[in-house]
Amino acid sequence: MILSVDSTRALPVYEQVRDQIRRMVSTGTLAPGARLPTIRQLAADLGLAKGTIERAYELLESDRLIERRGRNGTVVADRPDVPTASAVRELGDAAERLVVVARQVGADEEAVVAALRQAWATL
Amino acid sequence: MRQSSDSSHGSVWDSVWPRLTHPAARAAIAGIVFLSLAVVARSGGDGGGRTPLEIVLLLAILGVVVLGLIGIALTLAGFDADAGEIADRLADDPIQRRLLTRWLERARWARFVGGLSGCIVWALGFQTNFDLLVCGSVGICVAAVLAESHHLRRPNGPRAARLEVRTVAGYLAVGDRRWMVAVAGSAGVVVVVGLVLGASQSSISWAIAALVTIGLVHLAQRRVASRGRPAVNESLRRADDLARSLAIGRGLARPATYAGLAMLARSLFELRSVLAAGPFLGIVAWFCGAGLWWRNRRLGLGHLADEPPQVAYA
Repeated sequence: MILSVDSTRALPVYEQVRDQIRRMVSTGTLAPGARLPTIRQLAADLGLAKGTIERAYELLESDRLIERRGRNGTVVADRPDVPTASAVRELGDAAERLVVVARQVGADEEAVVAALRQAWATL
Repeated sequence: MRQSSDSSHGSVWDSVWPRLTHPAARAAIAGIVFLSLAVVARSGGDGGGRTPLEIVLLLAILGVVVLGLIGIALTLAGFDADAGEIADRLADDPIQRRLLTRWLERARWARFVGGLSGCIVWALGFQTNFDLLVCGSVGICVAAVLAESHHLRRPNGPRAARLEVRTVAGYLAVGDRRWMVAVAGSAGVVVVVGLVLGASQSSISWAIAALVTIGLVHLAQRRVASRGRPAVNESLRRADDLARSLAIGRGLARPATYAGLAMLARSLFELRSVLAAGPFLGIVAWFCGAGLWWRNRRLGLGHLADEPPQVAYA
């Protein structure tokens, strides 16, 4: 599991870290209960300030993707059986963005659903 | 016959000469000469009333000690003579060997300088308050921590790292961890017993010093475990893991243990006024410390087959 960041990109580095870990969790590359490195270690490995990794972990915690367990470190959270209200809202926002992109490129509903199924099967 | 004798003599000299001319060996010999002169100067200050026989005996003992120390120093100074050979036993490919050889040279040189500095400090007049094992082992501890205090520079632009969890426990053998915990626990017990029984301040101070030493070295171990490592290939990763394991176990845990035992021994000796068994326990602790130092005197690399470096991720 390689994590890569580029400080010259427009996207803030903490967002890059958050996106990649979120992707690893959602695809199952990081299983529930898997331990994540400490903030100090990951910051040192990536050559970043500790605050940057701390910000990424805070966002992941607010997304309920990770849990901090004091001395036991940071672990990937269990997936909830029923999506939370905020998760449903986030899903709705993502769907709206998908529809906007589909209309911009001239794709119809069937093409969008096909693309969605393909992505679902791939990830 | 003569030819074979000459060639064998020549081969011994060929192996000794590069070690004698190496800067480490020169520093070692200079340090030992300095140490010997310091001891002679100190003993001469109050030795005006010695008989000729006593002086001859003193010189003979001093000569044996100096010869022994030079032998130890040359063995230690020969660190780079067999670093490559040891790395060969640990590593699978040339890149790993090169990295481990560099680490061994650095770690063993630091230990040598630290230990010798401790001995010089002891010889310069601290014999009454410290013993040689305390001074030497503290010197080794300080040098080992300093040798592991380096870190990588932060590059600009793209960078990558593995999402892996490295902990001290993953690199430290169970035996080494138990020794550290046992010494720290014993020192804690001595502090409590000393306070309850009203022991001397120096006794409690020595026990606290043992606790502080173990604590500081544990912090250094955590730094080594979490020291930055960018995403590298498997070969370099393996070599880096081996170097970390050697540093955390043989490089830091064992010196902290024998330094802690030496301080604990001093503490127990000082307890004699309130605890009759104190001196006996102190002697046991001192010999445990000295034995551990002896076993680990060359980073314990003679026991690699019995105690291979441990590498495990959480």
